[in-house]
Amino acid sequence: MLSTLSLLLPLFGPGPAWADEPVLTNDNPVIHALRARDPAPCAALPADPDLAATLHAIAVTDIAPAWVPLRAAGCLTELFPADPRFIGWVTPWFTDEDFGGLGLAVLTTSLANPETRTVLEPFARAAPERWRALYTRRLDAADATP
Amino acid sequence: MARVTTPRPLLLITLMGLLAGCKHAGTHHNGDDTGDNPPETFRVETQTVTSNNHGLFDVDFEVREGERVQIVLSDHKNGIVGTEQLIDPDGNTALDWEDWAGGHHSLTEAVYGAEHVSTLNWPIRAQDGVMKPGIWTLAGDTLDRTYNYDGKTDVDVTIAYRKDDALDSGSVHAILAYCTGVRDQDGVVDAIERGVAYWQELYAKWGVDLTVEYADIDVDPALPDTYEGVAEYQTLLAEHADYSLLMVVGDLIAGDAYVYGEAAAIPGPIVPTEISAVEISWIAHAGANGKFSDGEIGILGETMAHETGHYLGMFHPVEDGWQNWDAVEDTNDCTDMGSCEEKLGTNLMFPYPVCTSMTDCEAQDQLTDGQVGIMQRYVGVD
Repeated sequence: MLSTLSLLLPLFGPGPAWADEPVLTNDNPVIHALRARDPAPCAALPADPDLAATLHAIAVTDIAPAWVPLRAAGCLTELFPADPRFIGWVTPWFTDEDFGGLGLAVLTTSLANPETRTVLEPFARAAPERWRALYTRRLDAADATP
Repeated sequence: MARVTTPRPLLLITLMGLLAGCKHAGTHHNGDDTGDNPPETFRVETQTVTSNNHGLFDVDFEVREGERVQIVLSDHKNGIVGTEQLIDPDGNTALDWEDWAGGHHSLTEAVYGAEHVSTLNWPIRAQDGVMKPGIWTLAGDTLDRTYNYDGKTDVDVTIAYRKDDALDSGSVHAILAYCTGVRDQDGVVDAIERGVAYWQELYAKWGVDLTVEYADIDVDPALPDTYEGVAEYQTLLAEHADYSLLMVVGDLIAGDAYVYGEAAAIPGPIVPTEISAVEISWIAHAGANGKFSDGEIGILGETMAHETGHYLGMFHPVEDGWQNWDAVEDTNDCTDMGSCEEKLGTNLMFPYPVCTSMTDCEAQDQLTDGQVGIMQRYVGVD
């Protein structure tokens, strides 16, 4: 499995995953929207010159509360699965244990998009043990749902 | 004022018809002073009513001196059920849905109607007064999922009564249940217990002695929205038979890794139903690395207090957008982000944590006297 993933990764990773990352500040309107206790739909996030990159930057930054990076990862998956940077951005989250929560946000969001799920599922099933059980349970539950 | 004769102009429909008499399918009482039943200051009655052809029904119930009540409506068609009016023994309207449903202030979700189960706790605030002893009437309605009146629907009605004059102190019991596999996650039990300790500390500030017992529940940790209901919630609560709050800890809520917690309703039912729960996602609090920092545990404890605060009847003092507020007199009706964060940012029920930097958020550990009064009037708080 891992060797297969090694072959796939170069296809999806055009250059460094977080080149040209936006610089985030605490008053960023997207961060503000993601902090809400009752989340607004991803489609209602504030306008941003490169929302995909901003969401990615938020996801990989230590921002409180902890659900902000998770929501950013979920919205990135919901809104930009076809972005050429998407797969290169999100696949490391399935292999690095310290980003496994982001992987879960991406995976659960991708369950609504068969094409994205097909690409991500092998990464999820090969994830570090701590997260793999959670990923597998979500995949299996989705398969069991009519 | 007596009940109006204009039927409820629902959110999505035009008028449907005139009121007609209700059908009471029967009444029985439980909740006496025997065995495992609640203490004498707490009693519960149940009855079943059937809405008329126009989707309307009445529930009569007798209030004794010093009691407050919670009425839980559960329809048999899994449609929408709600409260239109509450009438006191003199025929005066104590609560009218038209005063609240379209306005900018929120008092109770009971007037909006809810899928399957709807709860009204009364009184809610100090200005609602005390309940006069005698026969009160709740005028309710049954609707289909498109908000059209739906007649001939059976509705189970559970009325919980609490006799308690002390509104500056009380106690509440909660059951915290771990979903399948959650206890096995590294660090989760420790973080949850530390979060509970902070939740207890917060509630103690407001005169509520919170006791928590821990349990396990055989439920998939990917939890559905609370309002969708989980049969095991009702079962677990019924087994305890002590009218507790139920907090369920899972991995995810509503299929998202980032919904941090959810209360079934404002207020939520104190009696066992499929929606009688507050759900908490441990992952949404632990974040990307799945490990809890001290700051994350603090927010976890505030989430527990915030979500149960909804369950006990509190709305956000202001909603993000700054155009809608709660109906509490001593919470500021601020109108922009800056003033709202300044005046209400440390309030437990503020709609989002106010963070002074990327990683530091202010403690939200304040409630106004009016908000505490709502909490203390919840029938599940003795």
